[in-house]
Amino acid sequence: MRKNIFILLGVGALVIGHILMTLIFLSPDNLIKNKMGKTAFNYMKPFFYQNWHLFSPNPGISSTKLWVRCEDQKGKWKDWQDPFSSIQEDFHKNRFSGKGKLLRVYQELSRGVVKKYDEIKEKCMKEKKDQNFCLNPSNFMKNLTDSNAYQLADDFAMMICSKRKDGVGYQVKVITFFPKKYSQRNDESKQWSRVEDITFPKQYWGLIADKGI
Amino acid sequence: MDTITLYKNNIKSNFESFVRSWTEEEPLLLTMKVFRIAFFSWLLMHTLILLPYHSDIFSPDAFINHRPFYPEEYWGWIKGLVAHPFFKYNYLYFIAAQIIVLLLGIFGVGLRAVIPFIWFFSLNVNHASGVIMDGGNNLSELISFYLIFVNTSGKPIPGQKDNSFRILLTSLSNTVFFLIKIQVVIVYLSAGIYKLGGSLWQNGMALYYILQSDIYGHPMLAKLMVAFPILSLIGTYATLLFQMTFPWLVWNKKLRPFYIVWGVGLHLGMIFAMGLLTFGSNMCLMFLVFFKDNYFKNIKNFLKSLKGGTIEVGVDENCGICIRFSKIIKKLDFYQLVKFDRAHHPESKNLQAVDKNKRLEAILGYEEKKESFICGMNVISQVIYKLPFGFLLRPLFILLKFKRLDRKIYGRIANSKLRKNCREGICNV
Repeated sequence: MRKNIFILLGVGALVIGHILMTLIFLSPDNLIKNKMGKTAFNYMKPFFYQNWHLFSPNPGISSTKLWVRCEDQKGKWKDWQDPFSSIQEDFHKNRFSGKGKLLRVYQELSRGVVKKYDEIKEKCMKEKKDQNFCLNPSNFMKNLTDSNAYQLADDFAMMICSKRKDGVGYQVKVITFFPKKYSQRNDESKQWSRVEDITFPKQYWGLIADKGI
Repeated sequence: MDTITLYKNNIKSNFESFVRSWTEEEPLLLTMKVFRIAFFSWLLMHTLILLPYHSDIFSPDAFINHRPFYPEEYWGWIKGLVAHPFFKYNYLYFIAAQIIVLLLGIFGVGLRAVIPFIWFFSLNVNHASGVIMDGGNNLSELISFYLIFVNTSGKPIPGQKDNSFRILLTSLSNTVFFLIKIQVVIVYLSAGIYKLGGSLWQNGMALYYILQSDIYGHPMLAKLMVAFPILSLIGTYATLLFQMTFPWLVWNKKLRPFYIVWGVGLHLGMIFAMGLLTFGSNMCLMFLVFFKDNYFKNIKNFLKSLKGGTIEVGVDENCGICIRFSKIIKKLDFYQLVKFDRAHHPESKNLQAVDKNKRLEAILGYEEKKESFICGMNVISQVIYKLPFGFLLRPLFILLKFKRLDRKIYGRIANSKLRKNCREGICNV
């Protein structure tokens, strides 16, 4: 019996220690987390990292989309298109396909750009405190176009337009729709509460390639 | 004996039985086994669903911010090996290996060795798909690690009860399985506490706004929420109430079934309404750990009763393919409805009653319930029907009966070289 107690105590200590670390790691800021938070993080990070904040504290309510348009050799720009609308429709029809995850991959293209813009906005607000300046994405176009997030979206847009035989240029727009507030739900005059967009500069490759450069 | 001594003895015996229950007994063998099969099947389903889109999700050329390789961290070589420059274009090998070890895990082959590999390959496959992983994947990584220490074979750990190694394995298995339950509780507790701080959860409008969004919503449900906003209020508060009370009340035997039904309903709603297939289905699976063995035994007995009794099968000891067939069936015979016996020298009185030449002519079976003999392909089909998903092959066997194709195929196999590959004497069944 002594052997059993000894082994159970050892195993129990390990499991209880693990549970305590998990609780400290996941808890909101408190006295224990202030003291042991770093230890818990170092313990959890390699193999036990976890995050159960789905839809909390508040769910993300906006819908972000990547829109692309292409220019043909005659210089005519086609309409803006949502390249993922068919995947979205399929996903709405069948929740059990892998289209949901595929959609998440492509949604990350636009969400990545918005995240980057949010970071820049936040930094700007702290430094300049000029709301009119900070809320205008065209003031940060250089920072945005240099970001990895935009580069991925740009590569994707180029791939879409290069598939067209007569495509020579392309343009990316990241657009965010905010749903109507509950109080506006019966207002038929508008579909969304507000719409924000970041329209990136036009990009060309076809004409340059034609000239042999 | 005075009262104090009686109390002491009572406490001592209670303590000893408590220690024994954790270190020597395994009361949840069937629960652990069912959970293993369900959980690994879920992992397999997850990978297979994504497989058609592998180049868009896992490939280094996909339009996705991949998680990097961390060479300076020891864990980078374990969980992120797939991101190593040498391996990143060979991600399909990791997926293939994960599928193979998962199949072995589902069928219970070499579990002690296979489960660490399941954990390793699942971590890497998740690492390759990076940012799109959700709570369901996160939980699956933790659970597959915990399962390394749990006895999920369905059989007691071998060895003497007082053997130190056995005590260690049993204690680990029981406590880590308990840890899985605690992990599920922590998921809800953590999610619930954070939700309480959100204004939309407080005023009951969270569901309304979630379903208006493109990512987690659905046009039809968005309209429904606008027409009947009370549904949002009920759904939001029901979710909060569930997440805050589940961690405390699921331990109550009487309330447990109610909470499990509530939880399954909640997660099915998440799957269909919000499209959260991975998270919703994984959480539904997690409720299995709260069931006792008896529950699964009752289900097993019920399903067993639908299979129509046992069948005794006489297998020719000299027939190599027959013996391999019997070994595979024994592995898959979840309901233990197939009894294999020797055709030359059967132990079963029913088989003994049949002429030896007839027993060896073709595989012979005796259906105990019908009290009748069958032979050849009919035995094979009946044996397969006795397996858990054997009924799925019924259309195939019915088709084979057309123009007596089943007899022709059986004749081919019975007379092939495969049948006679026992070197000498009688092979053991």
